[in-house]
Amino acid sequence: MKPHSLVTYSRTGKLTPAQKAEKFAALGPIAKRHGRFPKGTVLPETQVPACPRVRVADLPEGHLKQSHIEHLEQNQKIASCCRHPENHEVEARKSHPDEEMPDIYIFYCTCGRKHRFFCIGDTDERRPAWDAA
Amino acid sequence: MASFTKYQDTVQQFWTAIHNLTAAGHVVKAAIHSDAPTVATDDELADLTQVTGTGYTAGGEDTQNDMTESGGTATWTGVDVVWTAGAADWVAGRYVALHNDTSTTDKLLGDYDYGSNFTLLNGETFTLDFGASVATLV
Repeated sequence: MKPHSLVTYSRTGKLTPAQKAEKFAALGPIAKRHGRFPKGTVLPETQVPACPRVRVADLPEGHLKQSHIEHLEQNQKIASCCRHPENHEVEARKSHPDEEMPDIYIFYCTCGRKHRFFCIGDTDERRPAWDAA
Repeated sequence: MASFTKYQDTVQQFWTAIHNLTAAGHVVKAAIHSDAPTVATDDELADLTQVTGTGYTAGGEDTQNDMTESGGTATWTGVDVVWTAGAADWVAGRYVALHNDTSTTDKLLGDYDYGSNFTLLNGETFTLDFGASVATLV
């Protein structure tokens, strides 16, 4: 074999930190949502309304997540009025405008107290939404 | 779903057997904090500023985690966590961190951004809804 015919191939998926940062930034706005900022940074609020505040009773029965209803009905630490979600009003929000669907539901009891649900699972069979009544 | 933010150190922790997410393994807790997570340097719960108030226990609440595998897909599950505020109102929080309470120094797994500050007044609740799973690895 002639020396000049020798060759070395290299294959690596390992990126330098600069390449990683560049690749991540190319993802667009979502990159800013994942902690790539100095410690102590105060992020702007990103939460936006998704569905207007309506009376729970005005929504079709079974439309809201049953687990949310049950959490309210069965929580013995909250006031008795709060355990009747049918008397509440509810609104849906998104934690970020890029969310595909609502991930925050806020129930408002007649006593003025709020009960927040933050949907963080990566799979969810259903996520209710509604328009203005 | 709310966007899951992975701490950079977490990937190393998985490859060095820090975490066992099965029900018989380690306890994963959810904690509410007020400071934005810095994924490059934060790696344990003490790096975060947790909220305070009646009804919130420092360290957070047990998510009753479990992990199963089927057909090459690992599924991490949890049971919804409900916080109910008591007499003393909470200071404002915004983020939810999942951490391994069994590991030394409570290693961080990931974080969720609620998108705005929130406080709980006496008798109000904040519920984490994990849906069918916390995360899957295919």
